[in-house]
Amino acid sequence: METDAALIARVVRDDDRAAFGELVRRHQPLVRGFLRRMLGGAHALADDVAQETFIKAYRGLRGFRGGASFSTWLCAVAANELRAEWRRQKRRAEFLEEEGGESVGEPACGDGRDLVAALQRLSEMQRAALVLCFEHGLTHEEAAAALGCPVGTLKSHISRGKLRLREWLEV
Amino acid sequence: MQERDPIEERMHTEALAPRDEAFTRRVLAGLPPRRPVRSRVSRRSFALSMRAGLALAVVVGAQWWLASKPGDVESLLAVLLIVAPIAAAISRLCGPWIPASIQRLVWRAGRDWR
Repeated sequence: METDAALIARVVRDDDRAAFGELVRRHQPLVRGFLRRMLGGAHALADDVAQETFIKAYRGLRGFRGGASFSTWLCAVAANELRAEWRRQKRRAEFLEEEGGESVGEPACGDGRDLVAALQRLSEMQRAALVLCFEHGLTHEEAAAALGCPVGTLKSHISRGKLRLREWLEV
Repeated sequence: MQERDPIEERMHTEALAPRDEAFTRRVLAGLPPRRPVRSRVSRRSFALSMRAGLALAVVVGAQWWLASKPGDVESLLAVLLIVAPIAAAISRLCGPWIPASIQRLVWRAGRDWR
């Protein structure tokens, strides 16, 4: 099986769409899974953001220097797209409020014993840190690089997030 | 062996990892159109004609300068100031002014003289 680096080289050198397709196939579980968790079950929206992430990654592939792994770099692109989506949602909510319509509220949470609902109650950074590290197996260093924060801050998000989840899920 | 934290364990088991071919096709369909691929021959032809054109322009300019203002150093400097960045840009676009094959000939000849 070809390595990510070899596939990236083919995309950059020859604009090889098949090689990029293979990269999408390999990394979509991470990107789509992360975005679905972060967007609270809005799967169609999460897939739209995931598609935008891969298109941005394709455009920026020449700038990928290989300092971090491709999956970490891709997560960083996804996190940026996510922040942009949240900004759009915030602007939309403000506009709707100004227009006197219904505001876009927080997604409904379950009874607290449901992991998905409990994750939604965490702060965005806590949720992102927990999802990347425990669902997708990124190391603390990789997750910190993807989220653009120091490793110490990430560890603190993880321990606080776990503490809150433990309380809610009564584990 | 150290027991895994129940929260970590649960998150690991309930992880979302969607994968389907339709998504891959959707991403590929959304990519920007391909860059036009220029053949090696057309690139070389472009580079050669660009070099020839610029060389001709330099010859014509030099003739004009010699005919109109012989010995005027200031105008020569002005012309060089204009020509130098253009030449550098063309060299970056089309490769070195003296092709590598000729550079190698000169280099080998130089070595043979010793």
